[in-house]
Amino acid sequence: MNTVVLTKGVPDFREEQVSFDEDGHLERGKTPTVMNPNDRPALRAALQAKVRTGGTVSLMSMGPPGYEDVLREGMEDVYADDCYLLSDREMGAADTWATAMTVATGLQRLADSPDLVVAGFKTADGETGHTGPQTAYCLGWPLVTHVTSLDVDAAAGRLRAERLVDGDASEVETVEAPLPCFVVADPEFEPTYRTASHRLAHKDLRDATQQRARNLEDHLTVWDHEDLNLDPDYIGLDGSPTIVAGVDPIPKAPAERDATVVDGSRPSELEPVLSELTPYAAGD
Amino acid sequence: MTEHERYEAVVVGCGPGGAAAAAALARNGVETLVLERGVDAGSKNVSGGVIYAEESAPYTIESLFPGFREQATERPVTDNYIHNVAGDRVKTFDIGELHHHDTAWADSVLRRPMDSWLAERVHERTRETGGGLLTEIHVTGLLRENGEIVGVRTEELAPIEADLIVAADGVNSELARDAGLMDWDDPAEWFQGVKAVVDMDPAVLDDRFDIDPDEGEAHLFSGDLFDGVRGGGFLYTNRESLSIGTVFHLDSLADERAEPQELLDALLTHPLLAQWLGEEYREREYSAKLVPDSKKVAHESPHDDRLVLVGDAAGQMQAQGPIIKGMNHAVSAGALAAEAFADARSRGDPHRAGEFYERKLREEGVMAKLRPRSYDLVGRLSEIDAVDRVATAVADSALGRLGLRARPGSSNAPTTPPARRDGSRYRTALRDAPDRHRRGAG
Ligand SMILES: Cc1cc2nc3c(=O)[nH]c(=O)nc-3n(C[C@H](O)[C@H](O)[C@H](O)COP(=O)(O)OP(=O)(O)OC[C@H]3O[C@@H](n4cnc5c(N)ncnc54)[C@H](O)[C@@H]3O)c2cc1C
Repeated sequence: MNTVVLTKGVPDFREEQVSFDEDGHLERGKTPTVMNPNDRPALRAALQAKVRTGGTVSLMSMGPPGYEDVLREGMEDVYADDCYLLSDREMGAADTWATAMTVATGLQRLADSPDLVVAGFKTADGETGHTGPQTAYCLGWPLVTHVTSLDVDAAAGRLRAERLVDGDASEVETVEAPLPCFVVADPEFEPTYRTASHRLAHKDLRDATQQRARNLEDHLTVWDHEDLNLDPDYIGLDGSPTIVAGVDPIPKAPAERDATVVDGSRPSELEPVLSELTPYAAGD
Repeated sequence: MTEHERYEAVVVGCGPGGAAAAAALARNGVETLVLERGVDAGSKNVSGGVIYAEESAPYTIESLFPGFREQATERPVTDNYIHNVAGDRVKTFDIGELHHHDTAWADSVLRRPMDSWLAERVHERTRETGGGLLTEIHVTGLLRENGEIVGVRTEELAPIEADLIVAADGVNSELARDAGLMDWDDPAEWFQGVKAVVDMDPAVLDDRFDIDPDEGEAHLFSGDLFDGVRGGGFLYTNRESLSIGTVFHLDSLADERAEPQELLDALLTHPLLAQWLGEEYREREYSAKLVPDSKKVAHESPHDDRLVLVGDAAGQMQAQGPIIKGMNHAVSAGALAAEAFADARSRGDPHRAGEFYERKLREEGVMAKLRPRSYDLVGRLSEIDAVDRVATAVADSALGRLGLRARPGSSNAPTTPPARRDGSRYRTALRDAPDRHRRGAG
C-alpha cells in the first residue's frame, strides 16, 4: 500500500520566533519556517498505516526550496521512504485552489499511484482548511475529514475511520470508504499500537529512518511545473481565483482582571494566597 | 477462546536476569519478546554495584554477552578490603584472598549504562528470532485460560500468549505475586538497601585510592555502623564516581524508625570515608530499595504452569555479610531457565520448562549458594573473628564514633600505614574535616 502525506511549511508563530513589522504584518524573512503543526496528526496517521499494513509512505509539499528542512523533519517523524517537493516560481503565491490543482497533479504523476493520501486539518498561516478537500475534489476521490482514528484494510481495498461530526468532539461517527481515499486527520487523531508486533515494526522503522533523513537529497524528488506539465496560467498567482485583500492585526484584548502581587519570599506571605484558593479546591 | 498475539517466550523485565534469559533463549532460536517497563532499560535501575563472575557458576554475563567487561563495566575490582567497626575501633582486613575464592572476575558497574548496553544487544538478538525488546511496557499480571497461566497482561498492549513466561521483573514482581509464588512479608526476610553515587574526577579518584585507571577497589564495612542495627556497607570505585551504600536487616531496623537517607549518612559521614570523599562531594543519584534475603526466601520451586521466576523475583539475592550477590545469580537463573525451555521444547513438551528449571537450579549448585545448608567460609565474613582467622589485618585503628577528631599523628590514630602486597601504601589516616559532608554542594 502506498500512502502520501501532504505537508507544508508555515511561519513559526511561537513567541520568540515570530517577527511582525510596525503595522503588525508578518516579516517572513525574519521568521523561521517550520512544519505546519496540524500536519503532525496526518504524519502519525500515515505512520500507523505503514506500521500496520506495510507499504510505503511518501511526503509531498508545494513550496520554495527552503521547504527541504520541513520535509526532512517530516521524514524523521513519519519514517517516510521518500519526499516530493513541487517547486518553482510559477507556483508561487498560489491560493488554496491553485495549490490543490498543483498537488493533485503531483499525486497523479507518482510512478506508484497512492492508495491513501492524508492531509492536516488546516495550515497555521492560511487557516482555511481548503487545500485538502479541494485536492480530493481534483482527484475525484472520496474524502473523509476530521478523522480521529483510522484502520486501513489494504487487502480489502477499504478503510474504516472514526470522525468527528462537524468537527465536534462530542459526536463521533464511524465511516467506511473505498481506496484510494483522501483523509484529513483531525488534531485529535491518536494512533494506537496495541500489539507487540506493531510496536516492534515501529521500532524497526525508526532505526532505519534516521540514516535516510540525514541523506535527504538521495530521497528527494523536485518537480517544477514543466515536469508536471502544468500550464502556468492555471497555477501560482495567475491561477488563483482568490486574493488576500488585506490583513488586519487583531488588537490585544485588554486585561480586565485585577492582579494582586504577592512577594513569596517568606512563607507567611503565601498564606493569604492559600486562603483565597482553598474555596476552589477540588470538591468544593 | 480469544485469539491472542503469540510468542514462544515472553521475558518480563530487562535487568540482568531478563537480559540473560533473553540472550540464552535467542541463542536457542526461541522467538522471544522482552517487555521492559522503563523508558530505557536501566532507567529505573539507579546506582551501581559489583557484578561477580563465579568460577563455579553455570553462566557469567560475559559468556552470554561477549564484550560486556570491555564495554559495559566500570572498573575491575583489583583490591578488596573489609573494615570491621567495633565500638571505637576499626580493624581493616585485606580480603583479596577471600575475594578470589571462586571469583573469576568482579567488576564495578553502574546500572544505567550497563542496562542500556544490555538492552541494545537483547533487542538485536531477540529481533532475529522474530521477537524483540519493547520498553515502556508495564506488565500488570498474568493471562490465564481455564485457570492455567498462558501469558501476560500489560497496560499498553492487548494480552500476549506464550509457551514460556519469564518473570524477571525484580523484587516487586507483580507476576510472582499474581501467581502466588511470592508471599514474603516478614521483615526478617528483607534488607533495606540504600545507595548513592558520588561523582569524582577520575584523576582525583586514582590518587585518593592510589590505583591506576584500570584498577578498582571494593571496601566493605561491617559492624557498628548504625547504632546497634545489624547490617553493613560498601564502597566501590567506578570510572568517575563511587558507589556507596548500606544494607541493613529490616527487622533489626524496625524499632529504629530511621529514614533510609539516615542509614546512608551513617556511612557517608563515617570518619573512615573522609579519606576518599575529601572536603566536599556531590551525590549524583540516591535510591532506597528493599531486597530479599535469599537464605530465607529463595524459592525452591520458582515456577507454575508456563511461568518461571528468575533473579530477585524468585528471591535469588544472596547477602554474604556486606557482600551482595544478586546480579550474578539472576544471570545464572535466567540462562538456566532458557536452557530448561530449550530442553523441554526439544522433547516436544515445552510446558515442562519450569520443572527442568527447578532441577537445573539445584544441579548447577545455584540453590545451594542461595540457601546454604551450612555457613561456608565466605558466609562468615560478617563475623569479625571469622575474618580474623582467614585474613590478616592490615590496619587496626581507633576511630569509632567518638574518635571523630582523631588526627594522623595523634595517639589513637594508626602509625605507619602497612605496606600492601604490591608495595603501595594503604592509607587509613584520617583527616580532620568536620564540615566535609556538604550534600549536593557545588
Ligand atoms: C543497595 C543494594 C546494593 C546492591 N549491590 C549489589 C551488588 O553489588 N552486586 C550484585 O550482584 N547485586 C547487588 N544488588 C542486588 C541486585 O541489584 C539485584 O539482585 C539484581 O538487580 C536482580 O536482577 P533482576 O534482573 O532479577 O532484577 P532487576 O535488576 O531489579 O530488574 C528488573 C527489571 O524489570 C523491570 N520491571 C519491573 N517490573 C516490571 C513490570 N511490571 N513490567 C515490565 N518490566 C518490569 C524493571 O524496570 C527492571 O528493569 C544490590 C541491591 C541493593 C538494593
